[in-house]
Formats: sequence, C-alpha cells, structure tokens
Amino acid sequence: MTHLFNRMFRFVLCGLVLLGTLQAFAATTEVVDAIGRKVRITTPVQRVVLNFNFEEFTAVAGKEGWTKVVGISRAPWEGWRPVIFKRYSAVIPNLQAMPDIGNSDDGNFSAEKVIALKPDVLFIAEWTYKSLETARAQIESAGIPILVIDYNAQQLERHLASTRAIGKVMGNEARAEELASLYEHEYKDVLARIAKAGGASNKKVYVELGQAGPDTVGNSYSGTMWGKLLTTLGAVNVADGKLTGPWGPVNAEAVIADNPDLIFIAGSSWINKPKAVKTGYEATPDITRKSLEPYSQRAGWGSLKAVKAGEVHAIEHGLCRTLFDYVAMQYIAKQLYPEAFRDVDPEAAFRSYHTKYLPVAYSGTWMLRLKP
Amino acid sequence: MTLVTDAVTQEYQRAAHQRSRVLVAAGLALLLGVLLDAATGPAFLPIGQVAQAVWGEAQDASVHAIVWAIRLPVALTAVAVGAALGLSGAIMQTILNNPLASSYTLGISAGAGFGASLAIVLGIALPLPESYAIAANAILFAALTCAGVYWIGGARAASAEGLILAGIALLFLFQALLSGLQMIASPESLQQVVFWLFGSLQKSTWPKLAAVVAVLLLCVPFLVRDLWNLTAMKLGDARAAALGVDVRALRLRSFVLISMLTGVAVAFVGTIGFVGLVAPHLSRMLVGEDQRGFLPTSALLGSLLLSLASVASKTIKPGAVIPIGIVTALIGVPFFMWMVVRHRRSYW
Amino acid sequence: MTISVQGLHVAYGKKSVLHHVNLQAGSGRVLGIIGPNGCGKSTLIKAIAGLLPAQGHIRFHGATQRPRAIGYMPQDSQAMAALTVLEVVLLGRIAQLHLKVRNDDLNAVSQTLGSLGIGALAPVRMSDISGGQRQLVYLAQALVAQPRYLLLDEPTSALDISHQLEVLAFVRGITRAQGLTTVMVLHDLNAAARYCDDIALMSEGRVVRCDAAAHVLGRDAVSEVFDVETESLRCHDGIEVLVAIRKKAVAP
Repeated sequence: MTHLFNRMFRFVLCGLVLLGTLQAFAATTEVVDAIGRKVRITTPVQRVVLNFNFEEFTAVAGKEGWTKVVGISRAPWEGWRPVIFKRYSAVIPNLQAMPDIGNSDDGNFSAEKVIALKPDVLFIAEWTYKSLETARAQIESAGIPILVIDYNAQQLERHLASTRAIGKVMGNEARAEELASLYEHEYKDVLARIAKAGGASNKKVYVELGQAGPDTVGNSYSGTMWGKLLTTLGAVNVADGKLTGPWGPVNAEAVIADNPDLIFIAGSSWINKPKAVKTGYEATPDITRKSLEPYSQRAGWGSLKAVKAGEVHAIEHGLCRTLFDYVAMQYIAKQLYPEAFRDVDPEAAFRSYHTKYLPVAYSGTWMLRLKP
Repeated sequence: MTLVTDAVTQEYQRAAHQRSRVLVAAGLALLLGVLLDAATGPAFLPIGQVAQAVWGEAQDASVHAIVWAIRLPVALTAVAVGAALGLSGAIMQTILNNPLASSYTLGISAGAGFGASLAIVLGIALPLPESYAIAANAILFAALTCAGVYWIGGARAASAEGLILAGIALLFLFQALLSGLQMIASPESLQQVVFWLFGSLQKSTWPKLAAVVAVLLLCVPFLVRDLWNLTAMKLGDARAAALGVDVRALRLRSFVLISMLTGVAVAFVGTIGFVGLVAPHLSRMLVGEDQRGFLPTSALLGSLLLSLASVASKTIKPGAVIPIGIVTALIGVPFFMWMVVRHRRSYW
Repeated sequence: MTISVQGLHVAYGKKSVLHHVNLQAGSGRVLGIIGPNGCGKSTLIKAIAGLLPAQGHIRFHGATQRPRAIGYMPQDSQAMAALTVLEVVLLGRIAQLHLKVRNDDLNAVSQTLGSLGIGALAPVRMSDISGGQRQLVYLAQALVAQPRYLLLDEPTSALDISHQLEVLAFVRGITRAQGLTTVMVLHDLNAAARYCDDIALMSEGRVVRCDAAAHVLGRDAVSEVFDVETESLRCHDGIEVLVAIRKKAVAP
C-alpha cells in the first residue's frame, strides 16, 4: 500500500514541478513593433495570424513556424504573387487551405474572422494598420495583441525592428538576429560603396509597375517602396513631386520630358495579366525580355536616354519591401555605379539567401536588362 | 360625453387599430431582424452561442468579443440609422408634398458625401480624431446643403417646388464636385472615398451608435409638437395656412430636423439610398397620412428595411460582407419600378 | 361679434388690389360679397382672415386682435390629399387637438358631417369623392371648431343647384341660430339676394355699396358694376331676381 502511495506521491510531485516550470515558460513578453508600439504578448505563441510579408515570416520562423499559423490575408500573397504562393504551398502543408481574414485594400478585412480564429498574436503591415481604425479596436478589445511590421517604408530601422519583433514573438531570436545583421551589413555595404564612388549619382531613374502592359501607365512610387529605394541609392526619382500620394501613375508626357537615364519596369508572376512584365520563379530571360520589349516601343520612348543607352530593366516587384530587398538595391546600384559594384552579384546573393533561409528553391529571372 | 357610434367613430377606431397592428407587427419583425443580424457574420457562429453571448454568458471570450464588439453595434446601428433615414424621408415628403423627395434626391446625402470626401482626400476637416472628423464633416455639409436648399429655393416664399428644384440643383453640384475630388485623389484616398460612398455598417461602434440615438431622441419632442401641423401640410400650403399653420416656420423647423437626421445617419455609415424613399411609401400604404401613425411607422419600417438589408449583405455571399448601400439599391430599384407601374390610381 | 373693416389697403408689390375698403358684418347676419372677376373679393376675405398683410383696421367685436374662433374656407379645392374625410375635418380643430383624439373632437366631427349630410363619407379618401362633396368637407372643416366668425370664399361653386340651396340655407340657418358673423363671397347674384342679409358690392378693389341686400341689388348698381343690361323678375316670396340679358352696348 505504502509503496503504491509513494509512487503516486512522486508522480504527483513531478507533475506539480512540471506544471510549475511550464508556468514559468508561459511568460508575458513585451515586444516593440516596427512603429514603436510596445505590445505585451504571452509567449510562446501557439496561434498566429499573418497579414503580409510572408516570406519574411518564413525566413525568421522557418517552415516550422507555419504550423502555428491559423489564418492569413490571402489576397496580398495568393492574389498578388500567385506563382510564389504556389511554390510555398507545395512545401508548407497548411498553406493552401489557410482561412482568409480579408484584405484592407479590398475592403473585406474582417475583424470578426480574426477574433473567431482565436490567435495569440496578429501580425499586420503598417498600411493595413493605418486603414483599420474600427477593426483594430474590435480585435484589441477581444484581447488579441496586434504587432505592426513595416518593410514598405524601406527604412533600415524598420526592417530591423520588424525582423527582430517577429523573432522575439516566434521564439526564433537567434535566427532573427542573424537575418537582421545580414540585412544591415548588406545595406550599409551598398551605401558605403556609393559613398566611395563619389556620392549620389543624380542620374534620373523612372520606375513603373508593369502589370497592365505598355498601353496603360502603371503606378510609380515616391517616398515609399521603389521611390524610397531610389532616393536611398542617390538617384533622382522621376516620380518625386509628380504624385498626389505615395504611389500613382505619372503623366506619360512628364516622363518623356524628364528624359530618364535608367528605367526599371517592375514585373511579377501575375495570372490573368497577359501584357504584364513577367519575372519570378518561372520566368526565363527570354520570357522576361519578350514581355519587356513592348515598353521600349512606347510612343516617344525611342528618344529617351535610357532606351538609347540600353538601360531598360525588368525587376521583380516582389523584391521590394522585403528582407531581401538588398539584392534589388544591389542590382539598381550596379546600374547606377557600374565601377563601384563590379564585384557584386545580386543574383548570387539572392540564390544564397534562398538556400540559407527559404524552404523554396531558387530559380527563374528576377532582375534583367532588356538588351543582353 | 357619450360616444356616437357611427361612421366617424367606426372609421377612427379602424384607423387607430390599423396603426397599432402595423406598429406591433413591424416591431416584432424588427426584433427578428435584429436577432438575425446579430446571428449572421463571416465567423459563422452557431445561434446558440450568439444567444448565450447576448445574455452575457458567453462560453468563449472570442464569441463574446465578436457579439458585443462587432455584431451588436452593427445590428443596433442598422436600427438607428434606418429609423433616422425613414423618418427624415417621411418628413421631407410631407413638407415638400412630393413622393420623390428624400435626402438622396434633394442632394443632402450628396452634400454629406462630399463633405466626408473632402476630409478623406484633402484632409480639410475639423480637428478631431480621424473617424470622427469625417463624420463631423459629413454632418456639417448635410447642414450646409439643407441651408442651401432652403436659401436657393426661396426662403421667403419657401414653396415646395422651389425647394425641390434647389435640391436637385445641389445634388448635381455635389456630384460634380465629388467627381472632381475623385480625380485628384491619391489611389488610397480614392479607395476610401469609394468605400464610404458604398455605405457600410461594419464600422459601427457603441459611441457612434449613441450619437445617432441621441439625435433621434432629440428630434422626437419637436416632431410630437408638430404632428397635426404636418398632417395639415398634406392639404397644400394654402389650406394649411388657412388652418393657422405657419407654413414657412414649419418648413424651416422641419428642414433643421431633416438635416440633423440625415447628417448623423450618413456621417457614420456613408451614403445609403432608397431607405428614405421606400420606408415612407410603405408606411403610407399601411397606415395612411395621419402623421401620428405615419411618422413612427416610417421610422420603424426604415429600421426593418436596413436590418434586413444588413442580414442580406452578410448572407448573399457567405463569408463576405457586401456593402449595404448596394443591397438597399438592389431592393429599392425594383420597388421603385413596381410603385410607378402599379399606382395608376394615385394614392398620393 | 361684429366684424368692422375700415380703410383697408392691400397691395401685391406695387400693384394695389384693395383700396380704402370699408364694410361691416353684424352678428347673426350673413354678409355676401359680390362683384366681377378680379375685383378683389377673395383678397378681401383673405385679408379679413389674416392671411395677407394689409393696412387699415380690421376689428373683431371691437378688438384688433384676431380671435382664434375663425372658420375660414378658402376657394380652391384642388389638393387631392390621401387623407380621409374624417382626417380632413378633424384638422379643422387643429388648434385644440392633442396627441390623442378625444371623444369631444370625434363628436364635433360627427355632428358637423351629419348636419351637412355627409356623415357616411367619413372613411372615404378625399381623392375618391366628387368635387362638390369635397367642398362640403371643407365647409365642415371650417365649421367643426365651432367658430364665432365664418369666412367662406365661394362655398358653393362646385355644387349643383339642389346642393347649393341646401348649403346656403344651412349657412344662413346656423348663422342665425348661433349668432355667428358670416361673410361669404358669392358670384351668383341671385343666391346672394336670397340668402344674404347684407351685401357688399365690389368693383375694382373698392366696395361700391355695403348695405342690406334689397338696397344693394338694384338694377342700376348691378348694371354699372357688371357692365351688363339686366331685367328683373319678382318671385312669389317677394325677392327680386335679376337676369343678365346682354353686355352693355358701347356708345358709338
């Protein structure tokens, strides 16, 4: 009898100790998000909802991190980058059927769906956060912490803060630190090379989203995304001063009048956009060039410096506002300062990033000059 | 005094009973509508859980949050805004003696929409937190439009035709200005403006609901005082004046009420059309022109319409929420056509 | 309960419509106002009812303040409201109505409709009755608040002769029975001769004669004002009936 009792007693004691230790692990951590908000989160988190920057999340939290994801905004990934989404679905089992919480751009972001998924944390992009006053309040009133990440601003501090925040929440701080350091190193390296090359080039650069084909003037950017990148790299952004907001189409005449030295058309792997510039995992250089060629045929473009000098490029739109946008920076910088960046290989950098941090294999064309 | 049982008493009692019956029936239907509204939504919660949460005994914190922070404000805002729209449409049709008068056709909604867009696109607004700034602008411009209609329509003469023409002129003006704003808007502002113009109950919160209810309650005593005066307006300006009604002052008072009701309704949920047109017509068909029945019934039917539209907006495409302005238009247009076709014999 | 009008001037903008109008209406008596089209009959009665701005004096029982108990029946009856007859007549008591309609109100409506013979019309919509019946309803509306002063603008214009006689007799009857002061605009001279105690004959915004009916309706006065040649016939009850024969010939 006593023997049995002793065993039971020890069992119970072990159980209590275990419980005690577990309690110690379920702690409330304070995390500072990308826009400086201090958010209290109970770690470790078991259920996560993501709104944007899925590749960043994957790099930091790894494939395993996805087992904790219970809902995402499907439109900004499946809708905007369908080919990329497909590849990730192949290696992340729960991605294809992931519940959709809606997208603020389409006006169908649903606080109700988020709350119903009972997440321990909601990661949202800064642009979503800004447009969702009521929904934010509703989600927070349900006790769900909101963590804002921001890669769109193309600011070093925000890139780093966002990465570290994800790491802290998901319990992958080491990896997050590694990525942050990598990004900071590459970013500063680009700036250093530019400084060594004699500072800002003041070459005029025009970036346009090549989604609707050459017959439509696609969006350009100022002060954010590509626009911010260009300014950081010391180029003169043709769109600056011509847009009513952070992004929008620039008047075709104004582009010709400015006569840019370099032109980048941002392409991607959109479906149902037959005239778009094609880049991404499934694009070959031929395909990319064929889709880019019509742009150089635009009315009045034949006389542009960029076209005459063969400085028309395709670049994947999905490269900006990410943790690997330094490869885009390297590529653009390479065109602006050929000497200073002679030994830099953006493609190789991107390939290496894939191998080290992403569960998807590198392939395809991401950055390409029109004239081979 | 003994009651003479004759045609007069019979008719009066019949009318009174009809009024009560309609109010009770509409009230019950509304209750049902609200419950349905609270029970539907993209989270597909089982009714039992919703009911539990309403009683305050939610098993689940998330269910409680969904029901109390999202569903109930939406359902109750539908009731309040529907009542405001139905009421303002009813008053407008009475004082302007026109079956097409509504805050939509008189440009008041367009003015409010323009005010809201001004805040969204150009940031020209009163210094308030964002969602309230947009609402405040909407109310301000609704008031300005009402004042404009009144002034252009000839404040001194204030005939019905003059006011209607002024209203239509302002409708076109604000629609043109709105288009102009949309042209210069950045893509994000443009999106916001478009969604605002669609109308949506999804941004309802308890404080906003309180504001709408406060305005509704504020209007009630003024309407009660003028119930018989408004009924007299149905006889035409000359006869109403002959009965001693100060027609000009009554129109002015009514315009102030209309501007408040429309302004506050549009301010928080965007432009929602047809409720202000359909509810009074239905009310008239059911209880007649005696304003003691006509006004409350218009309000109640407005609430019912919007409540059902809210349910429809969530169930037409399960999991998604269609903007409610679109749903009310889809209901309103066929009704409008039926009205035009059916009423050979004028009941107006 | 007399109505006394002195020096009344009414102008629409620059145009003067009533000049220097004087008349008297006594209690228990019916004053008829007659005259050619456009002479200002309706304007005069509207001014007495207080619906137009006017200069001059209008006194009710000596006081200048207009009493509440005036029953005014305007001329036009085109408004086809969707109101029922009951509702229209009830509105005649608008000054006394509360949120809840009381038995007093309903009884008054009942009695008034009954005395005009249209009690059965109570539930009917205004748009569903004839023009003549509508006129009776509006008369009922003027009467239902039990006014001391009755101002009627062409109360029988849409009625057939049988109803005309009935209504005019009724108006004279209650005027005498209740001591009301009644002013009626009529355009049928002979009806005026028969049913009015006093008559004010108007021409071009002025009251040409205001006296007992028999004294006003002479052949000369009428010919002058209406610009017609008349013949008169005397009826069995002693009342002279004037018949217009032709327009006055213009002197070459």
